[in-house]
Amino acid sequence: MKRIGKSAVLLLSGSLICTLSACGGDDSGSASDGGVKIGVIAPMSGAFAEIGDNISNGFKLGVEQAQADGLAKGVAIDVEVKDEQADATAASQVARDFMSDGTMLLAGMLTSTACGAVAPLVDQAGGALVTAVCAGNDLSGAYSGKAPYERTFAVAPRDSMVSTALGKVVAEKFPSVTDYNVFGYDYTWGHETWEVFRDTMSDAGTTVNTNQEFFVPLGEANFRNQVSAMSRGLGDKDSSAAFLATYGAGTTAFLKQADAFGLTDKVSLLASAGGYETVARSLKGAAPDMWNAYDYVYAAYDSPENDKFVKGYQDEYGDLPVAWSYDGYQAGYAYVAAIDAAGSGDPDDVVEALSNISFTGPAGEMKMDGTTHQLLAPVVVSHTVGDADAPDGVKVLDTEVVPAADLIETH
Amino acid sequence: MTAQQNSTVVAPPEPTRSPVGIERRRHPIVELAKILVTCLVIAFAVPTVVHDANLFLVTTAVIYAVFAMGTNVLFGWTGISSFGQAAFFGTGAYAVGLTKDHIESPILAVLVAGLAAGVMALLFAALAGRITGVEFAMLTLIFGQILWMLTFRMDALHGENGIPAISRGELFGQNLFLDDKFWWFAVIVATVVVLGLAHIRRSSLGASMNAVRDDPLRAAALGIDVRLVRALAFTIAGVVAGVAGGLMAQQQGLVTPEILVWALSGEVIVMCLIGGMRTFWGPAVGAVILTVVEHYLFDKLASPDFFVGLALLVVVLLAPGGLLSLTTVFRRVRRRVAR
Amino acid sequence: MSELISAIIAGIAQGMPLFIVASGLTLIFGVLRVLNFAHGAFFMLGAFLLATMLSGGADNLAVFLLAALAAAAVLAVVGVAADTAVFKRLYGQDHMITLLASYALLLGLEGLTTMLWGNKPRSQAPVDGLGGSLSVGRVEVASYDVFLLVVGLAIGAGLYLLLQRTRYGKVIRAVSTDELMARALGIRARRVQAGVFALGAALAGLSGALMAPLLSVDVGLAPTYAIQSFAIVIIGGLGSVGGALTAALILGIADSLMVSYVPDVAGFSLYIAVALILLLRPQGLAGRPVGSAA
Repeated sequence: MKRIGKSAVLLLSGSLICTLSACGGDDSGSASDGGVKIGVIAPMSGAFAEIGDNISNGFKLGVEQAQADGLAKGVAIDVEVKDEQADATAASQVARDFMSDGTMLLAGMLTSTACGAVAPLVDQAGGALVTAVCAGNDLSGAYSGKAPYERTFAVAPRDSMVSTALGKVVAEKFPSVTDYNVFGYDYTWGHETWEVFRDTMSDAGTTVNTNQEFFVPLGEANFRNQVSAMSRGLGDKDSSAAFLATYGAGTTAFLKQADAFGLTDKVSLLASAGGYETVARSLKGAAPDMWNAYDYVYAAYDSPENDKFVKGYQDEYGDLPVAWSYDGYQAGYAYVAAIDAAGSGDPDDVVEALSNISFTGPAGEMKMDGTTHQLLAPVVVSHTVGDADAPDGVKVLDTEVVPAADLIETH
Repeated sequence: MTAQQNSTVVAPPEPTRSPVGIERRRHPIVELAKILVTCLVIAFAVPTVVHDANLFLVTTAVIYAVFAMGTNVLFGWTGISSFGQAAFFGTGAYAVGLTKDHIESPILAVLVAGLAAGVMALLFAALAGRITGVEFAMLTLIFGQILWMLTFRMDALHGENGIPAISRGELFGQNLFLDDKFWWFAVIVATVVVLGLAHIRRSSLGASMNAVRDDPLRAAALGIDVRLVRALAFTIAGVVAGVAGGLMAQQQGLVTPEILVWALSGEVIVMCLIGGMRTFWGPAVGAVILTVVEHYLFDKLASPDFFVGLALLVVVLLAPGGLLSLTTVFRRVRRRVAR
Repeated sequence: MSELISAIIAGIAQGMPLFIVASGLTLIFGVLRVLNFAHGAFFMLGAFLLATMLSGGADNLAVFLLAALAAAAVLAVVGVAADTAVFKRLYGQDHMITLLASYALLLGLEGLTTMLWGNKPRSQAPVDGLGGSLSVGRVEVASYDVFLLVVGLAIGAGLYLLLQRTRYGKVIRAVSTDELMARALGIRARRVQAGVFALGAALAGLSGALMAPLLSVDVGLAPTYAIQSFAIVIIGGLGSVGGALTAALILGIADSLMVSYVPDVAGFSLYIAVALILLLRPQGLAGRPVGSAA
């Protein structure tokens, strides 16, 4: 038993090692034929796979359209996508896989945890990283601080910029709404999103009274108790607001369970910060009247660049782009602009170029802050409501673009 | 598997197992030497053919192998079900993260990780000592969930951002920052753990564990303190899980709450099962196969979940005792041929 | 006082869906001793099937119920298939092995769902007429929760009657208590087990269909309720339907009281309650298997 047991172990480990070395040895490298290869890391499976699709589709379109605009002309840019499974360990492994194969230019990722795992690796290995969605406040130099990772650049506005934008717009539009009822994910992002919003409102001179706070564990979907308690504790409609620090399935479940109590009709303002478009679209015309702040809304800009992006995305993938498609697009476009400026795909030159690129994107003039490594992209505050006749079932009533400069000065 | 469940269902005919003490009559030193040689061969052979990112992946696999072998002290040796082993893996990882500015020696860091997780496991076992079976498994799951949620509530643990910039340190003048140096460190730690486990398995404690697994009532009648044996098994599994978690924190350079997620507690059971719980090396083999195969399937396929599930189904149907149990099938075939 | 009553009623509304989801799990666990991880995947499939059949809308209750039952029927077929292909071959093995098989099935079905429905979340609108709420004095309850309360009680009563009052129930209990003896008496144990598995899967599918209007119908749905369901099955007592119902209501009410009165620890309420029950009553609330009482 033991002897054969061991030979079986050897056999198995032998075949595994084969997979890992010889059979996996078809690495074609990056710049073998004068081309440049960019590795995109995104959640392609599991609960966040839709976001992964948005990021990678947007990225590919960004590369394509940047080259069509004459940037990095004639350079064959190859984009390969790998699955991070929305998990930091998996993200760090695929980043290593890319860099071992000679692909030193990396991009993408959804969660700040994954970006936080990959950014130091890229510094060590001498690659380059342009993050797509992740917007943790300590991933770039945020507010005029020095970037913590020399070779990492962020295209999406920081989380705190998003909440600040919402706070500014809401303070201006709803000065008499003062009693806030908060529902959020019980983790750092959820708490900070609410706190930054509240502080921005106070700074703007609006009194903010936290009437009720409910923070729920991530992954929970049964919110009747919170909905019922919130409904019971609501004050006067004219002064009441509901603030959501959730995204994705949690937002959907809350809205659906709150619907029975008419909760959204018992407040004068329903506001949320973070990804919301896909939730609104999935509700098929039943989405509530919502003020949301996030990276992008297709209806916010009236420019040839935006039209080109929206139309290109629709032609290629059939849907209107969401903020995550835009983040991917920005990352792709920024990379090509940097490769153009660097004149090659050499990671050192690309990093150098990234720290002072500028280009005209869907949201207008984009410039990279060389100190913070934060692309100075605006935040869009949108006012939407479900409407079965509107494109994708969501009618955009109003949008307000808050420039990055306004968001950085305040803190 | 437990007395409680067996009292309500007629126990199926148990697969014949060889009681400890009859199977192994070889001299303990020979046994330990064999393990040492096996580990050394792996340590030398792997880096000659596997490099860079793949070496990193195999290092991860070795860390999971340690975790799985420790977990099998519960499932395979003592017959204890736990759905919360990620709690101890995570405790070890966070221990390394929290002490990163105070402890320079990587060995000391791993020891602290094992100690922290071991203390945690001992306390848990003491508190839940009279509960067994699936109820005990539920309690371990809850314990893991509570720790996971605490990472978001305790400021020192920094929520989902976790504790970054954990250094691997230096050992004998070698900077473990380099992946091929860290490989050696991980394998050495793994070897020490495996030797320790082999020693326990041969000891009277190991025999008591098996007796408790096979029939707790009979074991008690024979004078074995069943509760104590269970508590010790749980503590040992906790220490090993903590050591593995500490290694993981050093290897990744980052600890986040993901390390405490209950899915990881499930995954380590899967590792034990596909390798085989009734064999010493089974869990390690399962861990390596699952880590490597899963990585490649997720890399190459559009619907990886489907194929991972399918592969697991094939394993469980063809080799319900785990892949290493196939060796007994080979043996039977060989005997028949020899006759 | 009305605050307390409201909180308790909200807790019941929270607990009943948990019971509905856990009912199939407790049946399969009680009779077959399989902790079926694939239950979450059956649940998810039920939600997807309903949302697809109704293409997201529901004009009246009859159509909605019909679609939910159709989803349950499909899942019964899936259950029989899973039993024939996998579990039938593993009965009598170590429980851990059936656990692994069910985990493999979970992964496989999750992958299959992505292949069939893609990555985009779907949505199911509430049934017309059940979208609002009812008020009794100052206490407000969602109409749909009242509907779920009725359905949950019906499921509980149905299972009780099936197991305790019918010939089939006697056969099930016989197989559950002593499979060998049951076979010796000429009972086709394998067929009974397949039937129980089908019923359990159908209940999972039904619960997914019924929850669809309250959730985001997406591939992340499988682990939703998973921990709660397992907790209910275990603290309810092995395979006890009544125990599961009691456990679900206790957990729902405990959570509601914590949300209302000690919001800071509300997230932990499930775990605190389950741990306390297990430490105080390790044999579970009912403490007896299907075979002896329900």
